[in-house]
Amino acid sequence: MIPLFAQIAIHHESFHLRLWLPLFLIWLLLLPLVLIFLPFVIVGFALTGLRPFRAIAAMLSVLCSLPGTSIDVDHPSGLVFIRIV
Amino acid sequence: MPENRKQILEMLAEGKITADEADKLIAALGPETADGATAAGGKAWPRYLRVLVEAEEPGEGDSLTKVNIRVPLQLLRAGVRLTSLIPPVAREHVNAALREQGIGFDLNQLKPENLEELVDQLKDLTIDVDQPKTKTKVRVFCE
Repeated sequence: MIPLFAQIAIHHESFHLRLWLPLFLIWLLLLPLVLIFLPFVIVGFALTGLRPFRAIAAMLSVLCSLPGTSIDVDHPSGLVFIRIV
Repeated sequence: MPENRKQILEMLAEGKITADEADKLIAALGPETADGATAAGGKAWPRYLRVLVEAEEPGEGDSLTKVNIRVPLQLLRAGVRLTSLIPPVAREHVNAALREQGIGFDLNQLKPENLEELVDQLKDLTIDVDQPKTKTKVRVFCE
């Protein structure tokens, strides 16, 4: 399943940021662009000697594997937290 | 309960197969079951690779930096598939760079067929590095 949300939190001294990014909206917005550029991407892969559909499948596979990823860095001067749901 | 496992147990209950045969069939189904437990030992199948780092900042007293990373093993599998996108010339460059660092690893050997074996080995992997001088602790494990 593709990632639907990303949670990002950054705290550094007086700077505080806490975001819930609705990634599904971003995918929806990107979808028309992807469809437009897909033929060019396929031709580009073919020109570089890569199998285009295999390459696209591999990239989709990486994208779909992202949910569950979590990165948490707690430093005395700040904190960064990224979580993909 | 997965359908295949249920069928085997039903066959056992009906007396169509013996307990030994049922055991062999269940073992042949593979390690993963619906609830994520192994068929043989009941141990949970790992889903994530965890990296925990604790390091004391030099010259800042007791201040401690903690890093906690959780990566789905599925991402590892997908990453290996991505190696097929690396052009052969670039692969040779990477292999040469690895050899220079004393790492005799050939990227061409990294194929999806071999990946399951690699992930299977990872489930028992735990790396603990404890360096008292710099008060740094690193822990890598699967969960």
